[in-house]
Amino acid sequence: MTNMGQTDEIRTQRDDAPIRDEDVDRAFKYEVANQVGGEGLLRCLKCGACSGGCPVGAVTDYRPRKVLGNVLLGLKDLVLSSEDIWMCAACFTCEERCVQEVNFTDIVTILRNMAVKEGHAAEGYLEMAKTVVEHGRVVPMTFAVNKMRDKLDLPPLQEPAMDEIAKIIQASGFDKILALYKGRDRT
Amino acid sequence: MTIAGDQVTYDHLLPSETAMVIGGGVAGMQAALDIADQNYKVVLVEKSPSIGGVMAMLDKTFPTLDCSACILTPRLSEVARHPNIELLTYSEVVGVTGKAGDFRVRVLRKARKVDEEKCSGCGDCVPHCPIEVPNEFDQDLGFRKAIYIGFPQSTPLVYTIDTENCIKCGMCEKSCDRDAILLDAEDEEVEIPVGAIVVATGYELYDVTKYPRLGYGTYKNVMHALEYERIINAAGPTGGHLLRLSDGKIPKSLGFIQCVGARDVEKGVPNCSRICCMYSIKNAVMAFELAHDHVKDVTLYYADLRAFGKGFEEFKEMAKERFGVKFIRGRVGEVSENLKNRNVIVRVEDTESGKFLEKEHELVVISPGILPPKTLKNLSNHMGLTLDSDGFLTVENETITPVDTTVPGIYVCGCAESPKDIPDSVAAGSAAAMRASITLAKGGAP
Amino acid sequence: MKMAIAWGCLVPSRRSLLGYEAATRKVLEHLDVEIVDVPNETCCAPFWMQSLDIATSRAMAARNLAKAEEMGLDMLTPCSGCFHSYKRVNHTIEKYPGVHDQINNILRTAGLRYEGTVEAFHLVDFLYNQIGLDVIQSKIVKDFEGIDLGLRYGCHMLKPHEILNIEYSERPTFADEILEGLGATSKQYTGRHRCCGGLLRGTEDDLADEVLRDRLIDAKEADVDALVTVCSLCHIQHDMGQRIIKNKFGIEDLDIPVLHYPQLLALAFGFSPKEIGLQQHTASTASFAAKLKAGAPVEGGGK
Repeated sequence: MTNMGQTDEIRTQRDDAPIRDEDVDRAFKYEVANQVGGEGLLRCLKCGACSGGCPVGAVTDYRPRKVLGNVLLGLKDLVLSSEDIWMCAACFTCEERCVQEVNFTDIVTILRNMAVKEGHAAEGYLEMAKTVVEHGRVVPMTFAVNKMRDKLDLPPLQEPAMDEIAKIIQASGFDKILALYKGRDRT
Repeated sequence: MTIAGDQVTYDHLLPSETAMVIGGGVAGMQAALDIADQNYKVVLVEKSPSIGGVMAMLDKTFPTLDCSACILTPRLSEVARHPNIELLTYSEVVGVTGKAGDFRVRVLRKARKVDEEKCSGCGDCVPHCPIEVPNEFDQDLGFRKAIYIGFPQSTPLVYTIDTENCIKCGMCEKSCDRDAILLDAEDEEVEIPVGAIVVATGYELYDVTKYPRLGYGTYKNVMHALEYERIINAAGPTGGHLLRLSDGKIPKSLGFIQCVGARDVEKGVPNCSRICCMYSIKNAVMAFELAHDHVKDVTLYYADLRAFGKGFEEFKEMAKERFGVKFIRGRVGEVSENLKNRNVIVRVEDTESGKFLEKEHELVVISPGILPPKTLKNLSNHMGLTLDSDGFLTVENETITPVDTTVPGIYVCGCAESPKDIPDSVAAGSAAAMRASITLAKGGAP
Repeated sequence: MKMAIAWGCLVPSRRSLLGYEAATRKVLEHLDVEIVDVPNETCCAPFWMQSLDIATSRAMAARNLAKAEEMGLDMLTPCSGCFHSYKRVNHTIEKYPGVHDQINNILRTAGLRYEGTVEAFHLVDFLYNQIGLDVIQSKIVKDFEGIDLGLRYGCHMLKPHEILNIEYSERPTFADEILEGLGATSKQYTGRHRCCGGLLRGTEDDLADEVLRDRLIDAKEADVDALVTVCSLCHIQHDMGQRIIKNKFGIEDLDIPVLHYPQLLALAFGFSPKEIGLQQHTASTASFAAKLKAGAPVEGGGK
């Protein structure tokens, strides 16, 4: 680089700490790439097309490119414990535009699933899941709701199939995941 | 002479002493000249009314900033005047039979409706023609009449009547002192015997409207690179004045967007287009050259800069250091328009700093990748040639026979084989010429 | 035509979204489409649930599809989140047979099975492709001439287009065509296709506000009579969120009515604003209703 001004500017903007050997999990990227939707990960060129169109990146320093970069570097603990992976709004814009057909939104799902198993689930989503497990829907059915519906001439809401939900989350192991978070205070 | 009923024959040509070059761009011209200079006959077939190809449209060449027309124009006359070259412009190859040393090529001579022998190119007909349509040569930015030449150095300097738009009012006929107008002329098919063929069909630009996020076609101040070339070209529609299309203002700030329709697996164009980095750096420099009192900021948004050729890296450094072109590594996410001033806002991540940028430019130029022309598929079918997955012609062996197609006696040069800059196209033209003349010399034997 | 319909969680139970269901029911009946509610519908387990555990999420979405399959009906839904979930399950089943087995192994414990035969339709796509603009236009009794609309396609009805298979998400036109067919002008504006941040609500609220602020400023600058949404999250954000944004960021004159897509069709068909719950929206729709009332009815039309 011959343009010293530009180099200095970059250096001061970079907040990355040096990467230590012990932070690197070399199998991490393959672990992600081997899951449904993660196939494109290894094709990432880190060109930044994802970040350039990201609606969250427009208002914060969240960068999909950086998340992908950290996964490719093998920084498993850093990635799975960071808030970054919970900042994706799932608008699929980057996935739609990626020139290398990296399905970033699918990769975020994979990363979040892994993070959840390590105890890093986002509280908000966890609360919604608990509501679904208890009530079958994100918004519990109440008397007030049915009264509002009646006013608009809408039929009363059906009772969700709670027995089926209970069996599904048992068979999928989701009940065990929820148990992991049992008794944890809302922060 | 191509009047209906007056069948032209090519019996005077001997296949053993004649080659055909398909495509009259800079590569095809080079091939034709090199074959002709060895005392073989050459039939040069060109689809458009004039030879010259895309190079004729360009303003400057990289990395030397030479005037493109100044280099090309002498070549155009050389080809036109060469005793061994027969020029068939406004013509297309529609069928090929035979084998190396003895091909029969059927060529469709589209009715130009102007007698090539009689027309002197005086242009007296032009003011009389009532029809005005966008000029393809100017990327539809300027206008031409229904009887036209695309550009002043058009070769041959013969007017053409475009049948699609002509209303047959006969005004041109009346204005022509030399009786050169042939309004009733019809297309004609001829058969030409040749011993070897060079395919030099060139390229077309990627259709950037396939990237709606970049605003081409939606925002007036987003143009593509070839439009920009015409805008900055002294012979172009603005007389070489750099201005933007919404209000004719000289832009203070320009953005160049790289890798559009190239290196994009999602869009089915995974290959690097090879020339876009350099032509854009050249275009960026030209903004400063042309309007240095006005232009304050020129930014080039790239994915990777590929300055691989002789003098290219140095040229890039000069653009950066001497002219102050800003280079930002990041593929542009999307552009939008500032409704108040019609400026274009580019959203991009500067991947070297991680900063999310929203940069407002008065003019944005998209640098499209290049594709094989849509007609190449048909042509290759006629000749039994195969295409690679990227749509360009397959060669026998990229390393040791880079201009030999898979059919003996048929050679390829220029962008018909892969994206190439001008020097590489010319070099390939010479190479293909040598391979073709060997075929002729050996009477078709491989 | 007979379709199974999944309403989702939010549409049938949120005050400002009830109009979505009311208008959908009225419009479909008016167009002679018979709908059967998915029996004991449960949450489709959309993106936030996929985030926690994709396997559970797939099985839950497949549960509702299995119910439609039992009835031998294709599935219609007005909720973009539900639509996305169902399309994604179908796509995954087709592409990864192993995942199909995994889903059915889970469903089996609940006495269910999903073969993968149910086609999922988003209401707006259904109206355009299955009903058609001509049929819709033949029922119009109210002309929307002079009305400027800001249509939001939202994200989950269109992206990624390989899976959802509706129309290329960067340049969709089908939903605009219907609105224009009603006589309205569907305005193109910056930010129209950008995300509203709806899925960040409940987990990253500040972020959801910031993204929404940008979208509302875009809409305000577009100067439309109303925004039109096809997604429950878009509506919650733009309608309920306006007051939050107004106070939090001190943006004045932020009073954009936000309508549900089928509400416009219902109005054009002659239904009253009240019947389709326009009064239930958080951002007042009064200005829009007034402007509409001032417009002339289509001559010779009749409900």
